[in-house]
Amino acid sequence: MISRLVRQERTVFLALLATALLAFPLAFRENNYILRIAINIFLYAILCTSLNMINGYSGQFNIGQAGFYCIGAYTAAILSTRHGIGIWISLPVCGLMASVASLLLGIPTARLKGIFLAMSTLGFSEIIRLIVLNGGEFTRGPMGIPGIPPASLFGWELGTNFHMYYLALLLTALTVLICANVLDSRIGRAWIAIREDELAARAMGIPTVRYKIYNLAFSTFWAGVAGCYYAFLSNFVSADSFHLDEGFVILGMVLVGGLGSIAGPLIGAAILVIIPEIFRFLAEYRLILYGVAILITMHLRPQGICGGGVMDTGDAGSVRDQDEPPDSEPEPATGGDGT
Amino acid sequence: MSEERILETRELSIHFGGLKAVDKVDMWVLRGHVHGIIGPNGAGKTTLFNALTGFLQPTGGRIFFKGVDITGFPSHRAAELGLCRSFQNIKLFKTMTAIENVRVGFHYRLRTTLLDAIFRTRRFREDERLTLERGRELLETMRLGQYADFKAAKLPYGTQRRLEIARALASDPELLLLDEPAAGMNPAETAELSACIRRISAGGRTIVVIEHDMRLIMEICDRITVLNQGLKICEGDAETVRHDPGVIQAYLGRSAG
Amino acid sequence: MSDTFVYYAQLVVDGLAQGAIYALMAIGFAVIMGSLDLVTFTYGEVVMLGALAGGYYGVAILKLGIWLSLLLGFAAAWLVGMFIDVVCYRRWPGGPPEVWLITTIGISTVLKSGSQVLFSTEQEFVPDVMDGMWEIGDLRVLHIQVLIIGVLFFLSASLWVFLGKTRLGMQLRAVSMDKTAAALLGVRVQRVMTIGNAIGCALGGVAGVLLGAYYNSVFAIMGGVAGIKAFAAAVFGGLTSIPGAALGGLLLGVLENLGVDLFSSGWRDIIGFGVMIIVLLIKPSGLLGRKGAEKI
Repeated sequence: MISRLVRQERTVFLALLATALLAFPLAFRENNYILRIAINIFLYAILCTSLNMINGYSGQFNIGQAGFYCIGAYTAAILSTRHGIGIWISLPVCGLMASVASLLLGIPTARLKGIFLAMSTLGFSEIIRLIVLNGGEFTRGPMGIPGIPPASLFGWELGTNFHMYYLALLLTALTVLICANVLDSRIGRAWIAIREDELAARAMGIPTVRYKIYNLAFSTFWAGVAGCYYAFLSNFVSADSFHLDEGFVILGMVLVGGLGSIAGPLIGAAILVIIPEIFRFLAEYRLILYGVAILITMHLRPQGICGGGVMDTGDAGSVRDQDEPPDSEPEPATGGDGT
Repeated sequence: MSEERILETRELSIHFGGLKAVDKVDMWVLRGHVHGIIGPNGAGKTTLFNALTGFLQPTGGRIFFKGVDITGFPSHRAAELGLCRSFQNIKLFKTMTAIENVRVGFHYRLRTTLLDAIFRTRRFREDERLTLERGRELLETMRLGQYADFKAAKLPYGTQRRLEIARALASDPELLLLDEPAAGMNPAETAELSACIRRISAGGRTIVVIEHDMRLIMEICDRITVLNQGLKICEGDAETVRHDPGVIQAYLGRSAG
Repeated sequence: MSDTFVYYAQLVVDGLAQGAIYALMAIGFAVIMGSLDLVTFTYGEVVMLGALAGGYYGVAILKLGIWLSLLLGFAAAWLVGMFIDVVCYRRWPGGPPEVWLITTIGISTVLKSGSQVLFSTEQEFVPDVMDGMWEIGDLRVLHIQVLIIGVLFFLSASLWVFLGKTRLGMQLRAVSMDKTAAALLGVRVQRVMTIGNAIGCALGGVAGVLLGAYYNSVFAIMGGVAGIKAFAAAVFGGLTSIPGAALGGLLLGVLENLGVDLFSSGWRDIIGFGVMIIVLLIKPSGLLGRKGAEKI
């Protein structure tokens, strides 16, 4: 009864939100500045959702999201400028390219944890950027790839921000919907189980290593999609856009919004895109702002604005899992062995 | 009751460097039994469990399950084979609700693929319905019905232990291994647990249980294996074990403090 | 034939000098990581700030000479270490390691971008602190290279004495082995952790000054690469072992130099990262000391 009420309210809320998002550009059709901000929010929302699937749900710690984003963008740039392939085919292809690359990282590192995994992802991200930078003719090195044609649909050019807004909205909705669907299935539950307790997950019959690789591939697909969109949005890609900082920005948004919830990364993306725009004088300090936002979040509300309780540190590590060595047998609390 | 040995170890050894945590243990569990494993702290009980469920590679000896040699299998295959365990230090999925914990237990029995999940196919819907309906039944079996939508971490201690058992049951194991299920329980909770274990056993499952609570062990077990410092020192029914001089010696020698 | 030999010997010598800087960074990193079980991500930024203070302000602006500049880098990095301790670690003693990872990522973004804004986004020039060289046959050994290796030896030896002979050093080792036991023995764990972190940072700061002096440049975004190099070198030695870190640093320097010869200079950092990932993969448990990549 109550849950039905809640569900109805949620449906109403989502319907209102959808209407608002659909109607929004009509009011700002000529205002490219506002549209660009909205587009940026969507772009980061996709990247954040993608990262959240990894860090928030399967509990791996990836900080090299920029690398997969980069792969998507360069794939799209090369396919479109040299082979005349349009955005609609590029989108899934770029996603798949990112997924395949993630296997190169994921298969060998599936057993690493904590800072070891984090550093591997970071190193991987930098390697991708450096390969692009040193890729000679293929990637045009530091010059980047210009001249990516605008997206089009049945011969219709989607060159304006107005059109690109709707494309971004569509992709974001698709990403969120698909991720939410997968999370609400045995696959998503297996990922969360791994995050919560890998040993127990294995005892329940989940091949945890395979599922972690699976999770990375699935999630990075969306980073690749975002990269593709970005290439068609800006018509130019360059390795400079995919510094580690970009990965930290995405991570910061997810942390501020809240790991392990669907809404968290979306809210985080919106807030951290909008704040520097409101305080224009902060533009130069944008990254400082993100760093400070991360620190403030950790100090005041470690689970983020609407987190799924993942980073809930409570009192000094009270939720920290206490893995015991294989054969530690503490005194039974009941006592009285009664021989 | 049949005499089939559903689980058998032959000269099973697990050594950590020089430490012989389990040393050449021969034991077997008969189908349909509740089989107890007892012994003083450090006897090697949990280590034995870890080997039986694939979490540790034995350094020597073999493990047979339903007559098949399963030595050295990966832990995630245990559920598939029909072995499922609970943990001594509760290992629930803390931020998930009770029902979700149990639903994870169904994992290997489901067939939902990524595409099924994305497109919400019939297979997905059937799997979801199965896990919800059967999951609720399991919670009822373990008297956990009213806790279905509570986060696991928020449940009382004894309840968490029963939830672990419910989760293990979700994989429909032929052999259920419980590692100190009554640890930290008060007498009332222990009595409820005892009733639950009997119900599960009556349903035809074989159960192996490590426990320090002797009253519980004597009450529910058909056969008992006693380990001490990695060695099997006695095996038999409650009466035999109770009067075995070696067992008394082992416990007195250790728990004098 | 002998030309080839000299050529490669030169590469190794240059690699060793560069490796000595990595080694110093890795030692500092190992002191933080290993002995304190801290998960830190901001080490590269500490190195950068050391380079800024000692290499840029010390050598280039204030013209303090190399020795005072090294001291300045040491002191500046020490202070930064104390600051990081307060902001990133102290609030969550023994908390989930992810928290430290996240807070240090946060602070490292702040420090890096802060330096870009307050200092400069460009590479700043650091004049030569010494420009002589010795020639051994056809082999050239720069004075600065000897200086670098000398500083490495001096600081390693000092650290060795500190950890082995002083009360605080022994407390540090006790804390590194078992915090609970150390606390029971009356060691003020929190304080010792703070100091250990500061020492590690200070060593990183000195390495930063050397980096700046050796490459004649300091820039605000040098920390990212430096941090990864320190990690890569420390990983060789299992993150916690100080001699291991030193060896790892030297090895990394030589490998990089030989690799650059094989490919091109653009690939220098790729080699570093690649080596790190490969080491992580091949022998995570053996090389990684106690915690970390638990292979269950």
